[in-house]
Amino acid sequence: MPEKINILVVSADARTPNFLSDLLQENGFHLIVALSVEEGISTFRSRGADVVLLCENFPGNEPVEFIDKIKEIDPFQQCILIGDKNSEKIAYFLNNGFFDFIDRNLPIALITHRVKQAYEMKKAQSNCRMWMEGILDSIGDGLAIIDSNYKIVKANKNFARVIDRGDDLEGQYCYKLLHKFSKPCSQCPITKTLKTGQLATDCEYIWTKLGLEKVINLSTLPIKTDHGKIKQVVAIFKDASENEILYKDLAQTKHNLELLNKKLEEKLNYFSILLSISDKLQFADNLDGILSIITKAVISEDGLNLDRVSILLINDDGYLEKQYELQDSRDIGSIQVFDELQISLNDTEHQFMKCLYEEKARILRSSLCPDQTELFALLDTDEICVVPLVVEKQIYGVILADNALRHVKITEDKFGLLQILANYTASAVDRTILKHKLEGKIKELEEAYDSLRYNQAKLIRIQRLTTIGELAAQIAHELKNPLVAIGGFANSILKDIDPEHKTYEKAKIIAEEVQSLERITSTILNYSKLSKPKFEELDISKVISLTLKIVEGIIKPRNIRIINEISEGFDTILGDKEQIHQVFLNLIMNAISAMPDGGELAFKGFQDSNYLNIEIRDTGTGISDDLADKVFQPFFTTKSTGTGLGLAIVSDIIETHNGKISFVSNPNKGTTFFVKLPIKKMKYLS
Amino acid sequence: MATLLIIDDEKNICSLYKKELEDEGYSVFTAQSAKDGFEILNHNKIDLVVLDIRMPEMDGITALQKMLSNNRNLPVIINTAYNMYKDNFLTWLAEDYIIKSSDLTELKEKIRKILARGKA
Repeated sequence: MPEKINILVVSADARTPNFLSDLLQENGFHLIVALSVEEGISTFRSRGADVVLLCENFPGNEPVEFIDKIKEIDPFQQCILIGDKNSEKIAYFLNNGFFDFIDRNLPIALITHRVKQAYEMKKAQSNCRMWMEGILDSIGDGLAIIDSNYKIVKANKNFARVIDRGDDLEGQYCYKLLHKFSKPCSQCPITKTLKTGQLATDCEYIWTKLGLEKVINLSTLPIKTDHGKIKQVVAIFKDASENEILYKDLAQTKHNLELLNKKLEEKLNYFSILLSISDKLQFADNLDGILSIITKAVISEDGLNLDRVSILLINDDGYLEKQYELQDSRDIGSIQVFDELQISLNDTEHQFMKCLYEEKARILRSSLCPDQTELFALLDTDEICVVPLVVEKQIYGVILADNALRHVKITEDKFGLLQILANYTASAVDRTILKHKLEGKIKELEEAYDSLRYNQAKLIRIQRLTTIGELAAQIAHELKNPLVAIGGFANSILKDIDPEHKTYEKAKIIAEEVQSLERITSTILNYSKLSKPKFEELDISKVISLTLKIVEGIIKPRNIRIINEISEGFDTILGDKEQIHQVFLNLIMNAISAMPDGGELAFKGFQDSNYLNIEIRDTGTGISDDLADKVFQPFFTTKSTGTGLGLAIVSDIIETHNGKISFVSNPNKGTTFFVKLPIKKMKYLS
Repeated sequence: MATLLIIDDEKNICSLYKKELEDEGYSVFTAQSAKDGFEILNHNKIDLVVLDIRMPEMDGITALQKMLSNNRNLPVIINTAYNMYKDNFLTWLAEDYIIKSSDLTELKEKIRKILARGKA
């Protein structure tokens, strides 16, 4: 059964309510009657009503004043004015808050219909209000509607929380509530909005329950009447202390960012160090240069700024040996301790060797290595970085670095950078060693190439000699027999005839010339096949003095001074006595021919680890440059009577003896021949 | 007087040696090949042979071996333009090794010495 609609009827004329009562109660209305305006308002205040009906004409009744008071109590209350249809003020009343005007003479059905309309309106407005309040309460900020007297008309739930007060704040003056002021503040955003109708916002310090100041962010906006008059202000209170937390967070974030930035700068700095090092390393071509750059980078203030660094490389004896070191200039001397390190590759228990074999860099700390007290005492440090130098499983040594002078802990960053430097160092060392090996190989190749070229030239020469030699031998042999016959018969004639005979001289010339020819053919035949040397131990000084004795007779009449500085006491050589003798004989005979007007013939000797060196210097005509290449060629001669085989034979004999011959010559000043013969060494004999 | 045999393919050498050695008082046979030489050796009593090495058909070294296998005591003097045959040990079987020369003094001296030794 539908509930009854409560209607408050205010009228001075007791008949009107009765008339209405009769009519309305039949249609499910319940009437409350007030016989004066004052009674009506107090009844409404105490009991409320769904719809208020006010009769127009009775003494002391000002309908607009009445409705204002009703709306003050309930802004959503609907009031209907009942009067004569001719009333001039109908429009005025409707404009000032009345929901409807009903002519008291209207049929009752129409009246009930319009009362129901007012009731529906109030219900709808009430629903709307609840809905609105729900929305307001769901807003996270505090929200209050404040009227022109600074009285709080309406507040949402969060308002109390934000301003830190209890409930039931509606009706209080905001300046009293928030600031404990006795009057409104002229700077307040509420005042600004009330005066100007503009939006305003500001920071307010309010008092909390505990008497502390709290920061509130206050924004205001106006509520205007239909005429544009500013009726009320919506004030939004934001808890700025939450902002303060945010500010704090922000400050913390800013601080973190600054730290990050600093770290980034450090990293950038490290990066630029690495860049400049790798730049410099590109141009360092020797090991010392590379190690110098690396150690400088470790010590330099712009670099890792450590106190001292030492690079230990594995030496040929299998020990770690200090190769390069550097330390901060503030202290001198303490770095020498690295010299005292004697670490064998076989000492696998040594901390340094462990790092090397495990290819793992470590910071050794005395507190963590109780068994290494001796090492730390020797190095005079609490902690030391040991970084292995390894390239593709090839171990080269370690870098040691520490802060032994300043005793500053080595940071992970520096340790990491040190490892990168170690990588650079290891590849640089690797590169240098490879380069060194490569240079060795190149040198070997060059030597091999030189030797090949020498042997090739020798081979060509031997081939030519063989061909020429064979041809010469053939010719010589063919000539020999006729020469023997011619010469022999010439001799025979000489024997048979009287020396006074006119043919005698002619036959004699034939015999002599044939003898000369025979000598030449003999030399050619001998050259074409040098007999195999019969090696024996020879004392070169004896061979030379013997040779000089033989040529004594030739030298004496020619005004040639002999200076023999070759004394006994040189190591012996292995040689064919006859052939070595032949060498010096040929060289001496050449020298004699080069000094037709006399001069000086000097012999000098010295010995190095493998060779006996003999110099034979004359002061003769010399050999001109254009002939220098040809002197060792067979059949080359400048002498009218020579066979051109003397130096060719010398050269061949020296070669058979694994020696070397060369000469320098200045035309008209003389020639010096250098003969090198290998020393007989005891160990080769066995 | 001793009888000598000269074996040399050079006709002129043969006549030179024959004349010179006959002047010395020897009786001299000459042969221009080893084959002819053996023929003479078979039919005559020869006291000493002067033997060339480079010859067509049979060379001196082969001839020397054959000669000595027939008569180990026959003195043979190798007489050649080369000294390189000294490397061949077979030539060492000969009494001497003389390089050919227009000057026959050395040859004559050697013949005289060898024959004198034989007599003694």
